[in-house]
Amino acid sequence: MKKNKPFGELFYRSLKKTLLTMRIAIILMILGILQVNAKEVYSQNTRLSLNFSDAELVKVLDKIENESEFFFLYNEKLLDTERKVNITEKDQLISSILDNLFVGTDVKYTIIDRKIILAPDYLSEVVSQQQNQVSGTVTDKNGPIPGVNVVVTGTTTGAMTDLNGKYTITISPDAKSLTFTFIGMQPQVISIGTLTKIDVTMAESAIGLSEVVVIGYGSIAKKDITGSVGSIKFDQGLSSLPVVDFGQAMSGKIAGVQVINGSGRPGTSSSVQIRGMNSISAGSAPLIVIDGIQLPGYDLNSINSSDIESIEILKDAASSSIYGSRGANGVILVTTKSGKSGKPILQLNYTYSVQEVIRKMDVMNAPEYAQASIDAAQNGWIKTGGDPNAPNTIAARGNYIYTWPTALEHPETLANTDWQDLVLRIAPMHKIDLRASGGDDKTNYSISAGYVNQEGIVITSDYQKYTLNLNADTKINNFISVGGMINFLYDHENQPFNRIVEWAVQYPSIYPVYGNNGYLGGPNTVDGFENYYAVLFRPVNGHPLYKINDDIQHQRFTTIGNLFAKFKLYDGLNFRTSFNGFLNRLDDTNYAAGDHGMGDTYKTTVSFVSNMNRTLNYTWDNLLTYDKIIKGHTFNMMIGYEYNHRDFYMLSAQRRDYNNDDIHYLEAGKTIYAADDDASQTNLISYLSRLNYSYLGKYILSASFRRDGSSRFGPNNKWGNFPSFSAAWRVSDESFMKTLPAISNLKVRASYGFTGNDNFADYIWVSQMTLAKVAIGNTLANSYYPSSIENPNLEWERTKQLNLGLDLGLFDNRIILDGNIYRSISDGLLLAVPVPASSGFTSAFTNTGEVKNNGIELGLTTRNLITKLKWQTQLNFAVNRNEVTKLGKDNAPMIYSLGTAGGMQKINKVGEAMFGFYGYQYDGVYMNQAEIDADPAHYASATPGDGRYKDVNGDGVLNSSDRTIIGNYQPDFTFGLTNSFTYGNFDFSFMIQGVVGGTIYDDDAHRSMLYHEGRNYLAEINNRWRSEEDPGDGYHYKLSTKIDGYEKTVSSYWLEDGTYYRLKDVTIGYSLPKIISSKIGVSNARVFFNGANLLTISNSRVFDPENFQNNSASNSLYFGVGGGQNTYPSAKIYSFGINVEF
Amino acid sequence: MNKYIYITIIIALSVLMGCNDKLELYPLTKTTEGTFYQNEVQIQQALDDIYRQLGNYYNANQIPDLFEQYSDNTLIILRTGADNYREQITDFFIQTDNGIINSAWENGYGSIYICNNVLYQIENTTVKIEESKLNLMKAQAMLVRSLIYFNMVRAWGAIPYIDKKITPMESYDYLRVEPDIIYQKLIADLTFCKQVLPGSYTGTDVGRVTKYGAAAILTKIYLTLGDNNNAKAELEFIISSNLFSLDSNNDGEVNINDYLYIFAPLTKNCKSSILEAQYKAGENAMNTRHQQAYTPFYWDFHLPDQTITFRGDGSNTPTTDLENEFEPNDPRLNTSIVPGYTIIGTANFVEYPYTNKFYDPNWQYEGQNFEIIRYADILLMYSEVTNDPQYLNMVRARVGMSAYGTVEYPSAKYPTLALAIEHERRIELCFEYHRFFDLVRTGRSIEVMRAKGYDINENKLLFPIPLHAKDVNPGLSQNPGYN
Repeated sequence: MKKNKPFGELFYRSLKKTLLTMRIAIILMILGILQVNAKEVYSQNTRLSLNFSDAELVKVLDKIENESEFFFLYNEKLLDTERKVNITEKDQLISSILDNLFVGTDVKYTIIDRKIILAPDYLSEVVSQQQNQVSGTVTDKNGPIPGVNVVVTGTTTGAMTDLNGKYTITISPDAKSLTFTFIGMQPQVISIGTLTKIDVTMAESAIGLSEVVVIGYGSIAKKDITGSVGSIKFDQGLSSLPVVDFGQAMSGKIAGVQVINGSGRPGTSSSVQIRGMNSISAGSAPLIVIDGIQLPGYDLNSINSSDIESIEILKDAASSSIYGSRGANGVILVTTKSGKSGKPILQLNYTYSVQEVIRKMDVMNAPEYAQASIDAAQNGWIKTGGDPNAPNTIAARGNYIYTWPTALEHPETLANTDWQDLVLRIAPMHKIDLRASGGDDKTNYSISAGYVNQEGIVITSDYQKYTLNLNADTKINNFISVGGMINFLYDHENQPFNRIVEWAVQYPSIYPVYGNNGYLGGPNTVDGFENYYAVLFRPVNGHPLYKINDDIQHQRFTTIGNLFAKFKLYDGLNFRTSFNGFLNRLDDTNYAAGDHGMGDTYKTTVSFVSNMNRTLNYTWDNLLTYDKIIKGHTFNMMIGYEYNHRDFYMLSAQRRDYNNDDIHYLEAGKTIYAADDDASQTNLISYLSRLNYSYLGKYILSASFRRDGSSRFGPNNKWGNFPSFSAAWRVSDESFMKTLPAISNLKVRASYGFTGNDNFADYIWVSQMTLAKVAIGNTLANSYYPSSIENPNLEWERTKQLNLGLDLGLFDNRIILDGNIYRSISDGLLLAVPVPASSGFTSAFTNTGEVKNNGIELGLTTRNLITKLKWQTQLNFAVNRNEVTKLGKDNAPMIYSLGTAGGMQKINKVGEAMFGFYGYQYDGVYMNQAEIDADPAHYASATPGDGRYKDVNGDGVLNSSDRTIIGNYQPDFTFGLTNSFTYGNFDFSFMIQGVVGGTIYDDDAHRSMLYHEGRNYLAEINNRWRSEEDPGDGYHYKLSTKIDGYEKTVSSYWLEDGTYYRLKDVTIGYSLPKIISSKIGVSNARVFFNGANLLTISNSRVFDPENFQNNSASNSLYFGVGGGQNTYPSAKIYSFGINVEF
Repeated sequence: MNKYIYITIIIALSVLMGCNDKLELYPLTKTTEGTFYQNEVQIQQALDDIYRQLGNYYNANQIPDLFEQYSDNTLIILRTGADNYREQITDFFIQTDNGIINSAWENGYGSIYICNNVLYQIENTTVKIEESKLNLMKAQAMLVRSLIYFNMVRAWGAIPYIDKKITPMESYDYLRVEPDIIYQKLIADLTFCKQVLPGSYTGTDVGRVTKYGAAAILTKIYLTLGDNNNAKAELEFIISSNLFSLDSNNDGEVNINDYLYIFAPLTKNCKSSILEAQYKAGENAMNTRHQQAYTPFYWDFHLPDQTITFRGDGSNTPTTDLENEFEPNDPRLNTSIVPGYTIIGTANFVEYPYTNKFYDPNWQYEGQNFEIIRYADILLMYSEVTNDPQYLNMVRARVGMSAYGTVEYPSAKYPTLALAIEHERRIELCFEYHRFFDLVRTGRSIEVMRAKGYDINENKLLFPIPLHAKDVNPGLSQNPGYN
């Protein structure tokens, strides 16, 4: 056994003491390639040149690995890697090189595609079987695996497999089972029983240390990562999920990455929030990079999820600082599938799904609503000082709002319509993907097409999506290779009118769907309600079918593509130039129909709007990389230059006055109403560089530096610098760790980096002159006025982040822990600072303010069972705490009105989390007059049954200084828990995901509870205070049509708990045994059932609290706010699918 | 392989060279302030924006309108919106975080900034423009600024007074200034305007502010200050010009048609007009929202003579008290108050009065001008300062109403000339934003409003300084009675 051999150390330290005591210890390493589908082809076509004299063998092997795609597997203890060799080869096949290299030694080599196994020839001879021995063959899907460790479980008795994967092991009579381990493969435990022959098929470990992860402008072995990068490999199960946007496939998988489904509307993109909010006014959406193409806007729907090979998420600043001014919100790197050399593969996935609303909102039925309306009118009347016994007539009470239709007194005569049932439906969805891929040693290709046809769960909504992806690369010669990808996407959505769901929740249950004359049911078509039209009873234009004839369509064409060329300039020196393009075109049309199912009298003016948005974005990047290994010192250097140009154009036209609702084009409108456009451009120039250094794989350092110049910033601050530093130490590779065999992997990491945020509109620093129309007499003239304040100092918002991480693997990596703690400080916030209105402006866009985020993220993977029944558990957990540490002048708090109907407000205040809900603290109901009298801070108009509000500052008066932070949408913690099982050909997995803590605000609930124009109430209002004898639950105050207290004022009454736990995903799959599948001509076939969002546990009364977490990625002010217009609930989805591979 | 190295170096150099000019991008669809004000036309265009500001300021829900909502002329039955800001105003329980009060404050200062900026540009321009022309421009901006300040002072009392272009950072230092000091500055500015501005315009300039507009505002300021002598002088300056008359349609006869003509949709800057907010009907023009705002919050009915279903915002609904103030047979009632509407679907009539003074058949894109100060107002004020009923009677005679002092006049109800003028102003000028401050400046507001059951006291004669303004600049104090 040779010691202190640098190259050997690299592989050695991850082994454990148990192995040391074995007859032969094994260290094998798989570098790079994930999957090997072919044999021989690459090795028979690849030719190499080598020239070494008196060099260590390890250097030669290393050179071969660097110059080719070959990688070596060998037992360090059996191979003398320091043996000096002389070799001169020119354009030779690998086999001939290896022949020369090992001539005269006992080393035999085996080439399996790119994998070269080196072992002494005596290993290849297995002695014949004797008593008390077990033997067998260990294989993976490509064939036998040599060097697999076979141990009698719980002992140090062991053996290893030979070149043919065969082993023989002597066992004692009390031996119960055998454990098979191999780095990069999932360990297996098999009971012995009476068996003397045990054959084992090993499966690649999804969480192996040898994985390669994509990082910005390059890739790196997972073991060499110094920052915090989350990685999701899209295996067969994930690729075939019935998700339309790939965000849903990422949900709950990575700690600190919150994927939020803002709406169930087909075709909408989930939003992603990485490690809290760093910005108040600028956007908080992460940057998306697909195959190196940086998307100019955030959209997770721009590529088919089935085309994705892997997604990497750069979470810490040191990782994302290579994206400089765009990295502050984290970066999502998407790698699409490319072809692999070998036999061509044809894959087909088909999924049929049925969607159903996740749950309905609980609203009052007709009798309940009738009573509520009577109570409100009567209470309003009493409030004005009216005689409670006055007749229920307009003559006696003076105003319709203090009376009610007598029909309400006989609720049994009213319809009892469930409007949600009317507009929601069970909707089918089909998803088909087809992919062909293949390649040889020079060229790889992949071509795929996808099709989604989805009906929405809301009537009149449907969605179709077509994608096409081409991916190819080829090696022209030893110096030049070229490649590229192109992805086309076209989708089309019929959007329902945006208030249909809101209306369905709020339209009173007392009306029939259709009333007199077959017109829509409402006060004017139901006898007895005529005079209450719009007074107490929601008029007809709140009927869920009122806008059913509207026609709202969205079409999108997105083309993403790149072309790159790679030049091998010199030993380890490469130059790569890549042109990346993005072209997006959105066409939106909105036809507002004139006919409302109400007859001619109620026809309204028709308008038709047609919008066209075009975004062209291209990036040209040039990277020079140099990789060098000198005596265990590995250097990877990169310098680059990038130029980015974005060009946006929007054209909008509108006509009105259509003869009928037949033609939904501009052409048919009689009046040209509007024609408008908008245009903007952005340029970004960047210089980037990075150095990765590792010594013996134990000590890893990385530093990067990017300098960005952006057209968005003021002339005084066009350029910004974004450095980062990070380091990692693989403690488990140290020799002193050998005494701790339980620890199979231990790495500590630290990183510090700067990132920027430029996520706001162009030209903000310039004072723009806006053109306006001004009337003077009968003349319409043009006037100009300055609409913004010039700020030539406007610059980047900068985030500094410190990340400390720990990777721990225990018991042969049966338990893997990935933990990170971080602290980030964002300063120079791009902030619309409120300024005194007397300046002529209400806010000024400046670099002011500071926000701090601290957090902990934990990922835990355990392989609970590794027998024939395999069980793996993955848990992730994240906590983020956010605090505003500085604001504008004198740190004055900033209060924002949400502009929603309820007037909910939010606040940013130093020392508090960003964007807390702000208002009065609700404190239950005044149950009687005595309680009012006893409360010195009661408001003048308070009567029994009204709400009570806290006198927060205790000064005995309830006023605006009693407003306080009444909630914050930011959760206490989030988690995801996945359990997966396989047994034979069956696989089963389920994922639970949850958000715990946090407050949400539902504008719908708010409106229905306080409007007295006939919106249905939530069923919980049945627990309201009705009288001192019937006081309800003490929380819900009485209903009244006369509101003069705080009922409409912003208070915690309107907020609810955003906590939810969700059974996000359940999958049961069955793979056809090879014997059967090969008979029907397929190489792989699987059928599966998937259920998404099957169960949600939540205290909130909304459809889905997840929709409220973040319903607008572009404006953090609205996080936690939902309901109102544009409500489209999410769905439960039951799917059945098949995957076939030929 | 060396050739590749050279290629790389060449490529690298070519891309790395001087790209900085690529970062100098300016708005494509808009001009920037840095390149504006370069010639007389552009300065004029910047100036003309003050007329848009004036129009916005006299639109619905700005301070002048809030005076009407605050008066005994109007109430709210049902209206749009989920907050209770308007109820707070009509029912006298304004809270300091009232959003309408806040936006009225912000919009007022926004308009003042536009005026201050254009004054700064005029004073510092390098473009060669005649002195008299520059003064004319200056006076227009000054007049609009003065009018806005006058309204803001009446609404809030002491307020920050800014008469030059300042930066947001400087604005923190501008705290509340007592009304008397502001009034003196306004008087000085308006006196300058009165000297510089012409009495009338021709062609496309008709509608710009005149010296009589300046005099009319001065009159109101003097009346507010209780300076009847100066007010009288200003009124005489206006009346003696003989440019204005009650014969608004200029047909030689003074009758009810002249009253109706003022509220006809297309009437612009007529004979009766002293100062007028300018609007223009049609899409993409300079629209107003008066009709929309004051029409019932109701779906399915037609405005008189219209065939389209219409829904208003439901503010400024006339009170029964106002309706009762009209003498029997006063022809002005029909225009001022429509008693209700008929639901289309059921043909049921609903009693829900609303004003028809702002009638515009172009209901989506209204363009009816708004009379800020008109001749009837001038005559009524003149009657007040001279204590001579003949001017009051001119206004009444125009609509065929009996003269004050005759037996037909309801003297029992309005025994003194002062009360008769108060009554007449309420009828003649209802919904034109005069009522509340007429009562305030005559000192009768609390007495009159309390008698009608309004919860009003001395403190409520001023609005609260918006909480948001105080949050941003804690240096601002609050008016008494608000916290």
